[in-house]
Amino acid sequence: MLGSFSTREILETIKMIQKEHLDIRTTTMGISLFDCISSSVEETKTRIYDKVMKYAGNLVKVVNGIEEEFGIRAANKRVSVTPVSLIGGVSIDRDGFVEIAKALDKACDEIGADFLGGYSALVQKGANRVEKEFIRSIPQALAETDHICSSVNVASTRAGINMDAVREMGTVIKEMAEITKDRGALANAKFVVFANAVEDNPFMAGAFHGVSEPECVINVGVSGPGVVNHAVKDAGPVDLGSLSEIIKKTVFKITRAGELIGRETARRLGVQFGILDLSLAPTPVAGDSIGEILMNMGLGQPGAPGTTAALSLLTDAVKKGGVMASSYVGGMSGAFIPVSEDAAMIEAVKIGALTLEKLEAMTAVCSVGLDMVAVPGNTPASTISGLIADEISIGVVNGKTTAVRVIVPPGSKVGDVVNFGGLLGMAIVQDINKYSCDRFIQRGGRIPAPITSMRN
Amino acid sequence: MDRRDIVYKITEIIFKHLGDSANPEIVKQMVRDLITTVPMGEDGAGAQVLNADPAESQAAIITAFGKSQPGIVAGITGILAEKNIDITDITQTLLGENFAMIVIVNLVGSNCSFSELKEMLTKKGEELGVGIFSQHEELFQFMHKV
Repeated sequence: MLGSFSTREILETIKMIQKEHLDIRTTTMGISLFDCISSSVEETKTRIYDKVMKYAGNLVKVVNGIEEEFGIRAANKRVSVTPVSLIGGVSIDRDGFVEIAKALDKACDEIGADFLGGYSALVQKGANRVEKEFIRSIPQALAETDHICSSVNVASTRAGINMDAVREMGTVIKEMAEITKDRGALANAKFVVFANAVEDNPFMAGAFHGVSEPECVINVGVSGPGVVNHAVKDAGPVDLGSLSEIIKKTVFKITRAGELIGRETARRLGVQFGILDLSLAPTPVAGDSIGEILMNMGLGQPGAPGTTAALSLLTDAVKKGGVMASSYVGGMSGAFIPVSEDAAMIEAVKIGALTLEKLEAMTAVCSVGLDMVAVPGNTPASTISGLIADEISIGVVNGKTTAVRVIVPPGSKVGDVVNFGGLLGMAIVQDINKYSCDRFIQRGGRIPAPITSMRN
Repeated sequence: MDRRDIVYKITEIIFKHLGDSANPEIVKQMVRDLITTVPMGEDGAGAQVLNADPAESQAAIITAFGKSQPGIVAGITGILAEKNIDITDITQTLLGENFAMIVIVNLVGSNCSFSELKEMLTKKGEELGVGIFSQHEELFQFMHKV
């Protein structure tokens, strides 16, 4: 024993940090922009810029200091704001919204954060005049900024699915791909379509500071696919109940690290600690992959029969291990499977083991959805909308969050590689069903909210 | 009455009277003022309480791994001594040629900041060809103790 620790405990933590990529994936400050609403674009811009600078000015410095003291890497520092469509006010048109995006981008750049989320709209039941104008501004806003992330919530279990918005999303996604085609359709990687979007999600691109959130909070996303992967690998051929137990114990420890950093960050910044998001989130680094965990659980490749079952065990064990470790669990809290950001998933797509349809099935049991998948450039907008409608239905019927972040690089064909580099990784263009859903999508309207009492 | 009990009783009374307006900083200050100004008992237990009250512990864990060679322990403990940092526990082991050491220190009383210490140790590690990691103990506390 050393102090109150055993040598094994100390070495375990050091190993997690040094060898297994344990890190605090994101420290995200949520800032309410409601008091920035004004009657002119200029005034709104000034107020927004000043407010972000006031609260988040020290964010990066404080988080870096904590990283230094606790010796655990805090990978990303981010900001989320009130959905921008709500603070537009009457005088703001499409160009005005783009101006606001630029003001937010400038503030984000100056504080040294990597992304700012919340260029968002919540239109699950319907969109008003301002929101429609806002949605049309998204492609340009993403093309003309570096750090802004955008999301649109098109459905919820209580409201049903706004199919007019779903139809519009296909067009918006194609449009933003077209105007950023010189950058591999980069804007697509910063835009998410949601069902049941959560208000305290710290992860990008879907983070926004919900309307019921306080003035300013710190939300933390802790992550350790590498740690879980090693634990599963070291466990050997134990039965699945024991494997679940091992994952729970591992995630408990990872989550405690996040809880500590979250509380400490909030304390030093003098703001409220919001939530801890338990999600396992991969990075393109080898060994930091959800796909690899699935393989170490016993699958030949992610996508093989058994994948959905393995993923459901993993997601469930992560939640069970995490809830006791943190006082406030929230956000997405599941397992992310952004294909382009996960080395083993990329490989599985490359060799044909993982299809779009299987991915869709997997999203029924994990968070968050069809994430960072690429489809051919000639895919019609209505087919993109169909893909979104399918994924969103899974979320609406199952009362969970689902999302679509799809990349449609103009001119690309199945098998082409889109390399974003960095955290966004590398996407391989996947085959998508060729048959049309155009007439279904053109109907528009609203799919009624599902009945929730008969659960089959 | 035990010295700890005195502090406990005083704190309890202050909390009772302040009610909702109690805040940890104010309570701490009031307790401190009371026991320094009021000589409790015939031997002035108040002052004793204060002096005996240990400063908040600020433990850090320093780990070093690498190829064994003479001078690693001396290199690390030399820096700790120079910076007036107390070692509360230490262990060192060899696995073949591999050296592993864990040192638990109390930073209270140190004459440099934690980041300065960390930088010095990292630099020393580079000289000695071992990796030296310094972290606040709280991280380990949170991860391994329920």
